[in-house]
Amino acid sequence: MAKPAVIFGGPSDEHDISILTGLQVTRALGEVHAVYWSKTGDWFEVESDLEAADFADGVPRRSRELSFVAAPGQGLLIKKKPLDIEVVVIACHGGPGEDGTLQGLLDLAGLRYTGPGQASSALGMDKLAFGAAMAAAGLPTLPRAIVSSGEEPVPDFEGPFIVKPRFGGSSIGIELAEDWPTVLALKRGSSFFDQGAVVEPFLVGSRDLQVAVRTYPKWELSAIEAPARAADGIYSYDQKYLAWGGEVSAGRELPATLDPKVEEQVVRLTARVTEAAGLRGIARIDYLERDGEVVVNEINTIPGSMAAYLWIDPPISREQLFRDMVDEARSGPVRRFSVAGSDGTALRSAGTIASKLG
Amino acid sequence: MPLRALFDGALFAESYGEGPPRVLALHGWGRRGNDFARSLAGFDALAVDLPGFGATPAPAEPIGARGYADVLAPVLEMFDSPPALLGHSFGGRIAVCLAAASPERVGPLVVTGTPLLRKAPSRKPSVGYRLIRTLNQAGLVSDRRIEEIRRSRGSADYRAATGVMRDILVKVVNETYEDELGRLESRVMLLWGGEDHEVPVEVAEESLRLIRRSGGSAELEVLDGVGHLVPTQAPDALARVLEEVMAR
Repeated sequence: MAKPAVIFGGPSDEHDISILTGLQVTRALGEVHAVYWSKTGDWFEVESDLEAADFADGVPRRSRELSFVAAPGQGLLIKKKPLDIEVVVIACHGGPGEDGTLQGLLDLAGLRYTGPGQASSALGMDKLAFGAAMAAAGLPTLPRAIVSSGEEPVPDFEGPFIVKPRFGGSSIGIELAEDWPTVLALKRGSSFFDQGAVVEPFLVGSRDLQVAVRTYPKWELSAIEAPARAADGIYSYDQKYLAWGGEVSAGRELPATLDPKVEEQVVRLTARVTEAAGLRGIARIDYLERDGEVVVNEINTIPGSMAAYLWIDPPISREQLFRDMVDEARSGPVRRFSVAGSDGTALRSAGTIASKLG
Repeated sequence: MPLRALFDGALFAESYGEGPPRVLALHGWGRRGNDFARSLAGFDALAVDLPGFGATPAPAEPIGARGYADVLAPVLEMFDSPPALLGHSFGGRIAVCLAAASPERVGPLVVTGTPLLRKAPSRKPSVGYRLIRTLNQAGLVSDRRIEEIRRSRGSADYRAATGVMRDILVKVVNETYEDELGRLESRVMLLWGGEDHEVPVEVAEESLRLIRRSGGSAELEVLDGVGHLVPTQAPDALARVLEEVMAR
């Protein structure tokens, strides 16, 4: 019988957090293929009743090795036979499970999956492109500039600067820098910036607002949260993830006490971000608010534990959230690739390749 | 606080206050300068990210605390007058080495949770661990679980460290600083968490005796109910003690 396959783990900084999300989804959905994507990028089917600690030292015992074939009718294979997969639930955070790589493979295998498609996934993980796309859509954003490996150009805004890895979904590697020489030194010295770094101004006196949005069975917003900040003003990896699920973290305000005008901006902007970024499934959108003005900051297209803890108003259970995601993916189309226009005419009249090179 | 690159990015530090810095803060293993954010809020201070932690690149070679002190010695030149050194755990080792190596360039010392002596008295397991062990003997906690706990209680720092940092850790945990303690000219305030199970108060008491026996000036204050992470668990006490030693 065809069952959903829950994919979690993956070669990502957020591999461990993804296991926590994946096991929650696996447990809530019941009858699934639990698919563990290891740190080395290998695929395994694992028992669905495993605990997080079973993964602490690597691939759990009694895991069955899978292979991935990105061709129609294939996908995840056990002993060369495709698993009977109804729909894939992608419970990966960061890296290739969230940045469009896995989404592209599933498209090629003709499998339906949760969350946004390949292009929207890639957009969500590129802070420079995402910021630019939102600005192009006319949405208020922070100015964001790439840190070029040369000394110029200096961005046209003043420090202190927040320096972030250009790609990646978590807060890992984010630093607050006093001045531009420090930004350049950080870029040179930190491996987190090897794939590029972006800077934005540090908005003194601003606060973070976060909201989850889902697109099925109808477009819907969660409660809005004002998370606590670290002493230096950056929302740290520890704060964001070590209290996974969000129930334990101190200092967060959920739901946040908001001026109705601020709340109205968050709702309106979220609707526009959903469209401009091509969101599907459950995403979390992060805003910055200062003096009643709200700007779009970042997006997380596959948030930790699917941002389930934010769904308190209206209250929606984790199980319901996960089941709705599956239903949405199940009812959606698989990606079709067009070959229109490639009817052989150009090939028949082409002559020899040698004549092209000559 | 925002980071500032020092020495063209060889070192990064957070700077506190508007005036010229008067305090140099050195964090513990696996931590970073930001640990002192709450203690240093009212001071003119520099809190570095030590090499291999936070934003600062790792040393090229496996150096010990004395090597770290050599690396940091040029930082002392940035102060108009000898700064107070504030060292937590691994940072305290470096602070003591710096003060012993350059007494004329270092002011008073505040050292907290630092294993200055290797012959630490045997550690008494925490109440929580002893309870779990009893439950295990009674069959209420599985052998597997207690093994997990034992492993997690082991050298977490060692398991987390990679590359040259692991070699540095091995080197550092085998160091002892009797020589440095006997040569200290700075006034030393030892501030310790009463519940510090990583570096028990007995280490502080023995360090205190050593400093005093050599004619040095040292005091010990023990904070009830505080563990190893004094900078984050008791920032107000740390700020108060720092203010006291600087005022004298």
